[in-house]
Amino acid sequence: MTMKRRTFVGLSAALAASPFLGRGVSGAQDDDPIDASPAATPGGTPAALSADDLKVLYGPVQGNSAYRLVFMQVFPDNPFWTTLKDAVVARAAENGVTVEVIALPTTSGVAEQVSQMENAVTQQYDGIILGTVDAAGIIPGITTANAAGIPVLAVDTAPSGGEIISLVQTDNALAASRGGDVIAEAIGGAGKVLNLQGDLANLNGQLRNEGLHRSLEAFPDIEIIDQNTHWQATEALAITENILTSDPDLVAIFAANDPPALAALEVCRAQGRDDMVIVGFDGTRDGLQAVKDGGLIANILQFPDVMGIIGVDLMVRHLNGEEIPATVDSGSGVVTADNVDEYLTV
Amino acid sequence: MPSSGGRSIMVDEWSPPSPGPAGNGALGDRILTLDGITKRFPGVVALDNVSFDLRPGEVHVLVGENGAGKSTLVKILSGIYQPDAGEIRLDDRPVTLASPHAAQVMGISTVHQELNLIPHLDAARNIYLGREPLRGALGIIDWPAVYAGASAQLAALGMTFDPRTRVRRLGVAMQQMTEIAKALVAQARVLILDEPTAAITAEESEQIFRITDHLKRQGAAIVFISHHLEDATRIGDRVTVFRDGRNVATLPMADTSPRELIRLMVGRELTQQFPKTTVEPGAVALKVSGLTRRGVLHDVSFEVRRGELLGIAGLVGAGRTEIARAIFGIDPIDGGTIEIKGRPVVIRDPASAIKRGIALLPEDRKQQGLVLPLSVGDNIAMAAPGRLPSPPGLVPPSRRRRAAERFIAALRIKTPGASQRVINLSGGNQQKVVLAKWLLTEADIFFFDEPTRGIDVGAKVEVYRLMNDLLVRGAAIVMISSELPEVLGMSDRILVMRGGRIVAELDGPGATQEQVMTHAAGGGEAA
Amino acid sequence: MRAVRGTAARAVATDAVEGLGSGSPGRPEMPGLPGGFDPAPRRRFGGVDLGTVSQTMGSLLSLVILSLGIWIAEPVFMSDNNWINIARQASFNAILGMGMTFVILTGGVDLSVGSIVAVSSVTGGLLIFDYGWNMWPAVLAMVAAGGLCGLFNGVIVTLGKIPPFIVTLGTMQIFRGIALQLTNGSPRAGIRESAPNFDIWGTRNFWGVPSPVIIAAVVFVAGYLILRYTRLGLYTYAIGGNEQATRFSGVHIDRYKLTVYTLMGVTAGIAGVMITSRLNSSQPTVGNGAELDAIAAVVIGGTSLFGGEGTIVGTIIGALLMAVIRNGLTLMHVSAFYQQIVIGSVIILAVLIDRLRRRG
Repeated sequence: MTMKRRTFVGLSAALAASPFLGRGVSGAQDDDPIDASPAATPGGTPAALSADDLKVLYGPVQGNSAYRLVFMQVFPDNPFWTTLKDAVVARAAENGVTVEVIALPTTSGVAEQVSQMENAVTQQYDGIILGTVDAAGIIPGITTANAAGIPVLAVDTAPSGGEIISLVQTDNALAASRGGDVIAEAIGGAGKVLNLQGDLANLNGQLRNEGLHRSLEAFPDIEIIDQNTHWQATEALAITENILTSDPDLVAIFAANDPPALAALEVCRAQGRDDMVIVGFDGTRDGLQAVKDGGLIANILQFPDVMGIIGVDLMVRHLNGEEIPATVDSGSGVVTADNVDEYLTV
Repeated sequence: MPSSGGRSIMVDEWSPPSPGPAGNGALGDRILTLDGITKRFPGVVALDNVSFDLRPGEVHVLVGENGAGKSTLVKILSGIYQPDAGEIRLDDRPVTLASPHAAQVMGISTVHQELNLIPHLDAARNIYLGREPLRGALGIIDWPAVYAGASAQLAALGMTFDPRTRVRRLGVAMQQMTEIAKALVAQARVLILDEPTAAITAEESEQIFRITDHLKRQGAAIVFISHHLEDATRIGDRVTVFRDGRNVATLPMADTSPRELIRLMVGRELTQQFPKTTVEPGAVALKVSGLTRRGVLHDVSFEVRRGELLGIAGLVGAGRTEIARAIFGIDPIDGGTIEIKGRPVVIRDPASAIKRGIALLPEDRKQQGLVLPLSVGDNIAMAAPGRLPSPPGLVPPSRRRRAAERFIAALRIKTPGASQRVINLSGGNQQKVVLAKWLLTEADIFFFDEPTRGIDVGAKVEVYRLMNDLLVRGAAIVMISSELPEVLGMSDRILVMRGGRIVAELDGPGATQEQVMTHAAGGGEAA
Repeated sequence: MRAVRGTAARAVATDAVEGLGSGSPGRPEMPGLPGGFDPAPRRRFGGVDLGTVSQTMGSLLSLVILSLGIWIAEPVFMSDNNWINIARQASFNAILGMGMTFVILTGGVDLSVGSIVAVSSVTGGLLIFDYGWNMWPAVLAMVAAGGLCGLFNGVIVTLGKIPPFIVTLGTMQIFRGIALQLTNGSPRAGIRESAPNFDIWGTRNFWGVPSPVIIAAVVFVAGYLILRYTRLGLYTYAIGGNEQATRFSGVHIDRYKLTVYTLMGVTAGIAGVMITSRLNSSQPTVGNGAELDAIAAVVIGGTSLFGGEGTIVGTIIGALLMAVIRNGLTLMHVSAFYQQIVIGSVIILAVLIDRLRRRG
């Protein structure tokens, strides 16, 4: 399946680009927005990585087959999370441990997820790998697990409280600022840019918004128009149409996730604005295809599969009694027409 | 507002009478006095200058036909209606019973026919609803006190059931006891029992009588409303007879008899307000044999011919409406056969009844007969869209309007037009719209259930004329009515119902109101 | 008596109780019923129901005032192109709103429409990408899938005697779950590349009019004709106005309710086709929250949530009003948070005005 193939591509990309900077050293490569090309540094390992990190990086880690893990999945309808989940399941099998997936329906809120966590605690899993919809709201669930002595490892989103053994996530602000950099370069540092925000009630939505602003606000001639899509393609359709009307001199669009980017692309095509500079975020298959076809100038890639793999590895190591890093950046990359074929493995 | 000179006391100014011999005064003191109470509804004077008093330690029975004004009086006393004129005095102080709550605070509690209990709560909580004893500074409900108090109250009433039983699991009699206990907790000095024996067994009635006896000996005044004249004569100290919104007599019970009461209840002259046309009856249009619906109708058999008007009389709940509902396919039947024009038919739903030419003008016009927000035209077209000259499935508004306009003219429906909403029409005109709906279906067997309820006198005559016209044209009519004069004045034959059975068949022109009432109320089988 | 019905049907035209037939002897001239009746057909009395007119006028007036206000703040608002945008953006909600109008007129509600849109969209994606269907059969299947979902709602509502709110609260989850399960949660982009001409449903213009607007117009005409000229329309109002009285008039209530919920499903299926074409992709998450927008359009349009009263014209105006607000605020670069506040306020205001109007 394509998912599986992408898993390994993504992993090798992560390995090569070495985004794992563990224990608070994340950001060492901020000055050097990587292309995330798997061929960029073949076999090389930047010096910043410690021996422990290398253990994380290389190969599966054998766990006790009695380990029962649970993965709390959110947004089961979102490709990012589907990929992450598939990677968790596959890696658990490779590591010889069992993992149960508990998915939170998209229409449910954090309260439901807290209940799910409480149930997981009741069922006495050995470890919880947690993806959450709400950084603050999930805290009661985490403290329940803490009280029961069940380790919690967070992926993608940092809970704002409770004790976790480790956090594996994309540095969202950094990733978004890379998108901003691409746009700034493409438009020559001047013009109106539409920022199709994600849901600002969500931490990642906030961070991507901040990252984009951080990058573009360095250019006095760039005007940012913020509009919120709540991650929804349908909302992006109307917003793009309306902004093209009020601001026909719009030159670029940044979307905090892929479906709105693609919706914006549809609108621009329909209105003959093929010159629009559009950057997507997430690196979904359709988003990458649009880069290949020239519709998007770039797509910011996260590595949900890497996130899942590292999450499982770290949890198993923790259960094995090893020390593990407190935070790990699972990396991000900019995909352009030049390197898209390496990721688009249909 | 009462129209007395002095200002009446509102509930927030009310203070209970000074402690002491509140109800123990000699018989003859008055707890409650009604003076010249009048209540009008659109087109109807429900209570006409009614005066009435209540003494401590008496059971005062109110009797009268349906619609004579008893329920209106009860609603005024319990604070649901406000009188248009007249004065209510409690302990000789004029008061305003502005709401049910106000009436209760002033010591008047009513046990309505439809009980006002919360089914999901247990008996104790119902009894103390709204006056739960509180404890401590935080005002926490003292539940032990609630249950202890409820137990004591129920025990005082001779009840042995657990106050923790949810009300919906109690029988009707037990629920009534719960209501009475609730009234006692509210320290009622006037207790109004509206038809307490209507829906319970003889044995349970005995219990009620014992309790009323007990309460009156403690000095409470009890208003007892009943259709069962035997019950009434048994427990009443005094009786007031209502007729046409007036109290025609107040008598000591010892000085009267059920027979005299009936005469007083119905004693009015038949007037010429019933323009009866007699038609030679034709073939049998509808024949019903052994119609049974468990617990509601028992072995009901009758027939009605073309050109004939069959009246069905009886008290509320005797099963009259239920006959119409069963034949019209609204309620399923457990047994019996229906023949229409000599052929047995099975009627599953109103649609199949309509197909066989049956029409029902239901007693509750607004809930069952009309779609109030829709126009006159839409209401008329509703039951017979296929009869409009139009392609199948289509009912163009122009056709609906044209059909409606024919009936508006023919039935003299007073409306600005066919597109007027029915909700804006008067009762009589609404009834005509319902009739028009059935005329469009070309029905020939009509059930009129309370055809003139809530209709003013002039319009009533018009409705009677329309019935005559139908008869002349060969329709068969079954008329269910609580208005005896109407039944007597319009029927060719009269069936009297009691307890879901037909207990008598009388010849229309020869029957008297006394006869009908005797059968209906069970005042004496021999009469 | 039945035998003479054939002639009686015509005779009804001249005599109110002619339907009783000629079986009775004599047929004297009667005081209550004039035998003959003014042959000259009368012109319509009251004309259109004044209540409905003023109601529609109210929302129309708000639309005009709001538009003028936005125009002053943002002149580009009044451009032809912007109005084309607004119409296009209103279409999706308007189509759903029209189906919803039927449901609400019967006194029901359908919370599952957003999920039905997703089922429709996903059906198209699957058939086109995985089974290689052509555009036309795929589009028909998408609409049919919507209709089936609606039929399912109707069956549970009528046979199960469960309130529609609860039924569709459940099916909202069920249908969304089906859409997600069928696709494993992932969208499929590039529909028109796989099924040529699929863009006629969402992105193309015909005679200068965007296709979504044309689709909405067709649905509107159909809905208007059904409500005004057919039994289904009459009973849709009647059931919501007084279900009991309608049943007592011999109407098979369940049959008509079933039809109404199925129609709702069909319109959601159509909306699914439209949005799939517009996004050029099949999306299991599409239509999330669309049910609330649709209900809002219906309510703003003056239809009573209790049923029995309302018009489809009002719903169109309601959908336009919402699109104008969103469009205007976006043109002014107002944040989405404020947009939500404004739309919420308009919903409450619309109902408040309606209540005051009724009282007055």
